[in-house]
Amino acid sequence: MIITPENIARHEIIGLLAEVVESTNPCLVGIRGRVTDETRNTFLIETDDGEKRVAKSHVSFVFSLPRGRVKVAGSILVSQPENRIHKKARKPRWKL
Amino acid sequence: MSYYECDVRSLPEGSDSPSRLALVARRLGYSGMIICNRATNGPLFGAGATEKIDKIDVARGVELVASSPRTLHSRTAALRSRFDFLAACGGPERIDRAACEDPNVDLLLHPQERGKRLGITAAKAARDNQVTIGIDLGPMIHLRGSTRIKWAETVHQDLKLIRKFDLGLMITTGPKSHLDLRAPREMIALARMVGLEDYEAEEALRLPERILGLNRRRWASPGVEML
Repeated sequence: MIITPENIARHEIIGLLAEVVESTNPCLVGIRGRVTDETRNTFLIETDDGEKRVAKSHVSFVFSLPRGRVKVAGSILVSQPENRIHKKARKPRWKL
Repeated sequence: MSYYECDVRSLPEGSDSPSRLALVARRLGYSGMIICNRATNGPLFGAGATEKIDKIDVARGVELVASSPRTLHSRTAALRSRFDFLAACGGPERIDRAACEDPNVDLLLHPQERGKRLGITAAKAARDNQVTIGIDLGPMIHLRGSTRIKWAETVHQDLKLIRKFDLGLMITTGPKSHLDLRAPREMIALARMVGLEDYEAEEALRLPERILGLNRRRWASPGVEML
Protein backbone atom coordinates (compact mmCIF):
# COMPACT_ATOMS: atom_id res chain seq x y z
CA MET A 1 0.00 0.00 0.00
CA ILE A 2 1.46 3.38 -1.04
CA ILE A 3 1.93 5.80 1.81
CA THR A 4 -0.35 8.85 1.52
CA PRO A 5 -1.27 11.73 3.88
CA GLU A 6 -4.56 9.96 4.59
CA ASN A 7 -2.99 6.70 5.76
CA ILE A 8 0.30 7.88 7.29
CA ALA A 9 -1.04 7.49 10.82
CA ARG A 10 -1.48 3.76 10.17
CA HIS A 11 1.51 3.16 7.91
CA GLU A 12 5.14 2.13 8.36
CA ILE A 13 7.24 5.20 9.18
CA ILE A 14 10.72 3.64 9.13
CA GLY A 15 12.61 4.80 6.06
CA LEU A 16 10.89 8.16 5.67
CA LEU A 17 12.72 11.48 5.75
CA ALA A 18 11.62 13.35 8.86
CA GLU A 19 12.21 16.75 10.41
CA VAL A 20 11.23 17.97 13.86
CA VAL A 21 9.46 21.32 13.38
CA GLU A 22 7.75 21.86 16.74
CA SER A 23 8.56 20.57 20.17
CA THR A 24 8.13 21.51 23.79
CA ASN A 25 11.90 20.95 23.99
CA PRO A 26 13.44 23.60 21.71
CA CYS A 27 16.70 21.63 21.43
CA LEU A 28 14.89 19.03 19.33
CA VAL A 29 13.61 21.48 16.72
CA GLY A 30 15.60 21.15 13.51
CA ILE A 31 16.61 17.49 13.86
CA ARG A 32 16.43 16.12 10.36
CA GLY A 33 17.18 12.76 8.79
CA ARG A 34 15.89 9.31 7.95
CA VAL A 35 13.85 7.33 10.46
CA THR A 36 15.79 4.14 11.15
CA ASP A 37 13.92 2.65 14.09
CA GLU A 38 10.75 3.14 16.08
CA THR A 39 9.50 2.18 19.51
CA ARG A 40 6.12 2.87 21.06
CA ASN A 41 7.08 6.36 22.22
CA THR A 42 10.16 7.31 20.19
CA PHE A 43 11.69 7.53 16.74
CA LEU A 44 15.37 6.93 16.04
CA ILE A 45 16.45 9.45 13.40
CA GLU A 46 19.73 9.18 11.53
CA THR A 47 21.11 12.71 11.19
CA ASP A 48 24.43 14.07 9.95
CA ASP A 49 25.57 14.25 13.58
CA GLY A 50 24.67 10.68 14.38
CA GLU A 51 21.52 8.92 15.52
CA LYS A 52 19.09 10.86 17.70
CA ARG A 53 16.19 9.41 19.63
CA VAL A 54 13.17 11.73 19.61
CA ALA A 55 10.00 11.33 21.66
CA LYS A 56 6.77 11.23 19.63
CA SER A 57 4.43 13.03 21.98
CA HIS A 58 4.67 16.84 22.28
CA VAL A 59 6.55 16.95 18.95
CA SER A 60 5.40 17.76 15.40
CA PHE A 61 7.20 16.12 12.49
CA VAL A 62 7.32 16.96 8.81
CA PHE A 63 7.55 13.82 6.67
CA SER A 64 8.42 13.76 2.98
CA LEU A 65 5.99 11.53 1.11
CA PRO A 66 5.74 10.75 -2.61
CA ARG A 67 2.70 13.07 -2.79
CA GLY A 68 4.36 15.95 -0.95
CA ARG A 69 5.23 17.01 2.56
CA VAL A 70 2.94 16.59 5.53
CA LYS A 71 3.11 17.88 9.07
CA VAL A 72 2.08 15.26 11.59
CA ALA A 73 1.32 15.71 15.28
CA GLY A 74 3.49 13.11 16.98
CA SER A 75 0.74 12.29 19.48
CA ILE A 76 -1.22 10.42 16.79
CA LEU A 77 1.79 8.17 16.11
CA VAL A 78 2.19 7.05 19.73
CA SER A 79 1.70 3.32 19.39
CA GLN A 80 3.74 0.26 18.61
CA PRO A 81 4.19 0.18 14.82
CA GLU A 82 2.71 -3.31 14.52
CA ASN A 83 -0.42 -2.19 16.38
CA ARG A 84 -0.86 1.13 14.61
CA ILE A 85 -2.56 -0.45 11.61
CA HIS A 86 -5.57 -1.22 13.78
CA LYS A 87 -6.00 2.42 14.78
CA LYS A 88 -9.15 4.13 13.57
CA ALA A 89 -9.39 7.81 12.72
CA ARG A 90 -12.05 9.08 15.11
CA LYS A 91 -12.53 12.72 14.27
CA PRO A 92 -12.34 14.63 10.99
CA ARG A 93 -10.24 17.74 10.38
CA TRP A 94 -7.94 19.12 13.02
CA LYS A 95 -9.82 17.70 15.99
CA LEU A 96 -7.64 15.26 17.91
CA MET B 1 -5.46 41.90 21.14
CA SER B 2 -7.29 40.24 18.26
CA TYR B 3 -10.97 40.07 19.04
CA TYR B 4 -13.59 38.53 16.77
CA GLU B 5 -17.36 38.88 16.63
CA CYS B 6 -18.51 35.37 15.80
CA ASP B 7 -22.17 35.66 14.74
CA VAL B 8 -22.88 38.65 12.51
CA ARG B 9 -25.82 38.74 10.09
CA SER B 10 -25.49 40.69 6.88
CA LEU B 11 -27.83 41.35 3.97
CA PRO B 12 -30.36 39.91 3.22
CA GLU B 13 -30.88 38.52 6.75
CA GLY B 14 -29.44 41.57 8.44
CA SER B 15 -29.90 45.17 7.44
CA ASP B 16 -26.32 46.08 6.49
CA SER B 17 -23.80 44.96 3.91
CA PRO B 18 -20.70 43.03 5.02
CA SER B 19 -18.46 45.99 4.14
CA ARG B 20 -20.48 48.40 6.31
CA LEU B 21 -20.35 45.93 9.20
CA ALA B 22 -16.62 45.42 8.66
CA LEU B 23 -15.90 49.16 8.76
CA VAL B 24 -17.84 49.63 11.98
CA ALA B 25 -16.32 46.51 13.57
CA ARG B 26 -12.83 47.76 12.74
CA ARG B 27 -13.60 51.14 14.28
CA LEU B 28 -14.87 49.43 17.44
CA GLY B 29 -11.63 47.48 17.82
CA TYR B 30 -12.33 44.09 16.31
CA SER B 31 -9.73 42.46 14.12
CA GLY B 32 -12.23 40.16 12.48
CA MET B 33 -15.79 39.00 12.24
CA ILE B 34 -17.60 35.93 11.02
CA ILE B 35 -20.73 36.43 8.96
CA CYS B 36 -23.10 33.61 9.86
CA ASN B 37 -26.15 33.92 7.65
CA ARG B 38 -28.56 31.02 7.50
CA ALA B 39 -28.75 30.93 3.70
CA THR B 40 -26.14 28.62 2.24
CA ASN B 41 -26.73 29.07 -1.47
CA GLY B 42 -24.96 31.56 -3.68
CA PRO B 43 -22.28 34.13 -2.92
CA LEU B 44 -22.55 36.53 -0.02
CA PHE B 45 -24.23 39.81 -1.03
CA GLY B 46 -21.54 42.49 -1.41
CA ALA B 47 -18.68 40.26 -0.29
CA GLY B 48 -16.27 41.69 -2.85
CA ALA B 49 -16.15 45.09 -1.14
CA THR B 50 -14.94 43.60 2.16
CA GLU B 51 -11.70 42.45 0.54
CA LYS B 52 -10.76 46.10 -0.01
CA ILE B 53 -11.06 46.89 3.69
CA ASP B 54 -7.74 46.30 5.38
CA LYS B 55 -6.93 45.45 9.01
CA ILE B 56 -10.06 43.35 9.41
CA ASP B 57 -10.68 39.74 8.52
CA VAL B 58 -14.18 38.94 7.29
CA ALA B 59 -14.84 35.22 7.29
CA ARG B 60 -17.92 33.50 5.95
CA GLY B 61 -19.63 30.95 8.09
CA VAL B 62 -23.10 29.58 8.21
CA GLU B 63 -25.63 29.09 10.96
CA LEU B 64 -27.50 25.82 10.59
CA VAL B 65 -31.05 25.43 11.76
CA ALA B 66 -32.17 21.82 11.68
CA SER B 67 -35.44 20.22 12.64
CA SER B 68 -33.93 16.83 13.42
CA PRO B 69 -30.50 15.45 14.37
CA ARG B 70 -30.33 13.52 11.12
CA THR B 71 -30.83 16.69 9.05
CA LEU B 72 -28.18 18.46 11.10
CA HIS B 73 -25.56 15.74 10.56
CA SER B 74 -26.21 15.56 6.82
CA ARG B 75 -26.09 19.35 6.41
CA THR B 76 -22.85 19.75 8.40
CA ALA B 77 -21.19 16.99 6.37
CA ALA B 78 -22.27 18.64 3.12
CA LEU B 79 -21.32 22.20 4.11
CA ARG B 80 -18.07 21.57 6.02
CA SER B 81 -15.79 21.95 3.02
CA ARG B 82 -17.61 25.06 1.71
CA PHE B 83 -17.46 27.25 4.81
CA ASP B 84 -14.70 28.23 7.23
CA PHE B 85 -17.03 28.20 10.19
CA LEU B 86 -20.13 26.16 11.01
CA ALA B 87 -22.45 27.22 13.79
CA ALA B 88 -25.45 25.16 14.81
CA CYS B 89 -28.50 26.86 16.22
CA GLY B 90 -29.56 25.04 19.36
CA GLY B 91 -33.04 24.73 20.75
CA PRO B 92 -34.58 21.37 21.64
CA GLU B 93 -32.34 19.14 23.72
CA ARG B 94 -31.94 16.55 20.95
CA ILE B 95 -30.66 19.20 18.53
CA ASP B 96 -28.20 20.55 21.12
CA ARG B 97 -26.95 17.06 21.75
CA ALA B 98 -26.69 16.20 18.06
CA ALA B 99 -24.68 19.39 17.45
CA CYS B 100 -22.33 18.55 20.33
CA GLU B 101 -21.86 15.02 19.01
CA ASP B 102 -20.93 16.23 15.53
CA PRO B 103 -17.22 17.08 15.20
CA ASN B 104 -17.96 19.06 12.04
CA VAL B 105 -19.74 21.70 14.14
CA ASP B 106 -17.58 24.54 15.43
CA LEU B 107 -20.09 26.38 17.56
CA LEU B 108 -23.38 25.59 19.27
CA LEU B 109 -25.33 28.84 19.54
CA HIS B 110 -28.20 29.88 21.77
CA PRO B 111 -28.58 26.81 23.96
CA GLN B 112 -30.16 29.08 26.61
CA GLU B 113 -33.19 29.93 24.51
CA ARG B 114 -36.57 29.38 26.15
CA GLY B 115 -34.92 28.59 29.48
CA LYS B 116 -33.34 25.39 28.14
CA ARG B 117 -30.11 24.49 29.83
CA LEU B 118 -27.23 22.61 28.34
CA GLY B 119 -27.39 18.97 29.43
CA ILE B 120 -24.50 17.09 31.01
CA THR B 121 -24.50 14.54 28.18
CA ALA B 122 -24.32 17.32 25.60
CA ALA B 123 -21.50 19.01 27.55
CA LYS B 124 -19.49 15.79 27.67
CA ALA B 125 -20.04 15.28 23.94
CA ALA B 126 -18.97 18.88 23.28
CA ARG B 127 -15.75 18.26 25.21
CA ASP B 128 -15.01 15.06 23.27
CA ASN B 129 -15.79 16.61 19.88
CA GLN B 130 -14.28 20.03 20.66
CA VAL B 131 -17.51 21.89 19.95
CA THR B 132 -17.52 25.42 21.30
CA ILE B 133 -20.53 26.76 23.20
CA GLY B 134 -21.75 30.21 22.22
CA ILE B 135 -23.49 32.55 24.61
CA ASP B 136 -25.69 35.15 22.99
CA LEU B 137 -25.59 38.26 25.19
CA GLY B 138 -28.38 39.91 23.17
CA PRO B 139 -31.09 39.01 25.73
CA MET B 140 -29.11 40.91 28.37
CA ILE B 141 -29.71 44.05 26.29
CA HIS B 142 -33.19 43.35 24.93
CA LEU B 143 -35.00 41.59 27.77
CA ARG B 144 -36.35 43.23 30.90
CA GLY B 145 -37.61 42.10 34.28
CA SER B 146 -38.24 38.49 35.24
CA THR B 147 -37.56 37.10 31.75
CA ARG B 148 -34.04 38.56 31.89
CA ILE B 149 -33.52 37.13 35.36
CA LYS B 150 -34.60 33.67 34.15
CA TRP B 151 -32.30 33.97 31.14
CA ALA B 152 -29.36 35.03 33.34
CA GLU B 153 -30.02 32.10 35.67
CA THR B 154 -29.93 29.68 32.71
CA VAL B 155 -26.67 31.20 31.47
CA HIS B 156 -25.24 30.93 34.99
CA GLN B 157 -26.06 27.21 35.10
CA ASP B 158 -24.55 26.69 31.64
CA LEU B 159 -21.39 28.49 32.70
CA LYS B 160 -21.02 26.04 35.58
CA LEU B 161 -21.06 23.16 33.09
CA ILE B 162 -18.71 24.98 30.70
CA ARG B 163 -16.19 25.47 33.50
CA LYS B 164 -16.62 21.94 34.84
CA PHE B 165 -15.92 20.30 31.46
CA ASP B 166 -13.46 22.97 30.32
CA LEU B 167 -15.42 23.71 27.13
CA GLY B 168 -14.55 26.39 24.61
CA LEU B 169 -16.68 29.50 24.93
CA MET B 170 -17.58 32.30 22.54
CA ILE B 171 -19.66 35.37 23.24
CA THR B 172 -21.69 37.39 20.79
CA THR B 173 -24.62 39.75 20.71
CA GLY B 174 -25.89 38.39 17.39
CA PRO B 175 -25.75 41.76 15.58
CA LYS B 176 -28.05 42.16 12.59
CA SER B 177 -26.98 45.72 11.78
CA HIS B 178 -23.96 47.93 12.42
CA LEU B 179 -25.92 49.58 15.24
CA ASP B 180 -26.10 46.25 17.10
CA LEU B 181 -22.33 45.80 17.12
CA ARG B 182 -20.78 46.27 20.58
CA ALA B 183 -17.15 47.07 21.22
CA PRO B 184 -15.03 44.33 22.84
CA ARG B 185 -14.87 46.36 26.03
CA GLU B 186 -18.68 46.47 26.20
CA MET B 187 -18.87 42.75 25.47
CA ILE B 188 -16.52 42.04 28.36
CA ALA B 189 -18.63 44.25 30.63
CA LEU B 190 -21.83 42.43 29.55
CA ALA B 191 -20.14 39.07 30.08
CA ARG B 192 -19.10 40.16 33.56
CA MET B 193 -22.77 40.79 34.39
CA VAL B 194 -23.71 37.18 33.59
CA GLY B 195 -20.88 35.83 35.71
CA LEU B 196 -17.88 35.54 33.41
CA GLU B 197 -14.47 36.64 34.61
CA ASP B 198 -12.68 39.26 32.52
CA TYR B 199 -10.01 36.85 31.32
CA GLU B 200 -12.68 34.31 30.33
CA ALA B 201 -14.54 36.94 28.31
CA GLU B 202 -11.32 38.04 26.58
CA GLU B 203 -10.49 34.43 25.76
CA ALA B 204 -14.05 33.95 24.43
CA LEU B 205 -13.54 36.88 22.04
CA ARG B 206 -10.18 35.54 20.85
CA LEU B 207 -11.26 31.93 20.34
CA PRO B 208 -12.96 32.40 16.90
CA GLU B 209 -9.66 33.50 15.38
CA ARG B 210 -7.91 30.37 16.59
CA ILE B 211 -10.66 28.09 15.26
CA LEU B 212 -10.75 29.90 11.92
CA GLY B 213 -6.99 29.52 11.63
CA LEU B 214 -7.26 25.77 12.17
CA ASN B 215 -10.20 25.39 9.80
CA ARG B 216 -8.42 27.23 7.01
CA ARG B 217 -5.48 24.85 7.02
CA ARG B 218 -5.55 21.75 4.79
CA TRP B 219 -6.05 18.63 6.88
CA ALA B 220 -5.65 15.20 5.30
CA SER B 221 -6.70 13.34 8.42
CA PRO B 222 -6.75 14.17 12.16
CA GLY B 223 -3.36 15.57 13.13
CA VAL B 224 -2.00 15.38 9.56
CA GLU B 225 -1.64 18.68 7.75
CA MET B 226 -0.75 19.05 4.08
CA LEU B 227 2.05 21.54 3.48
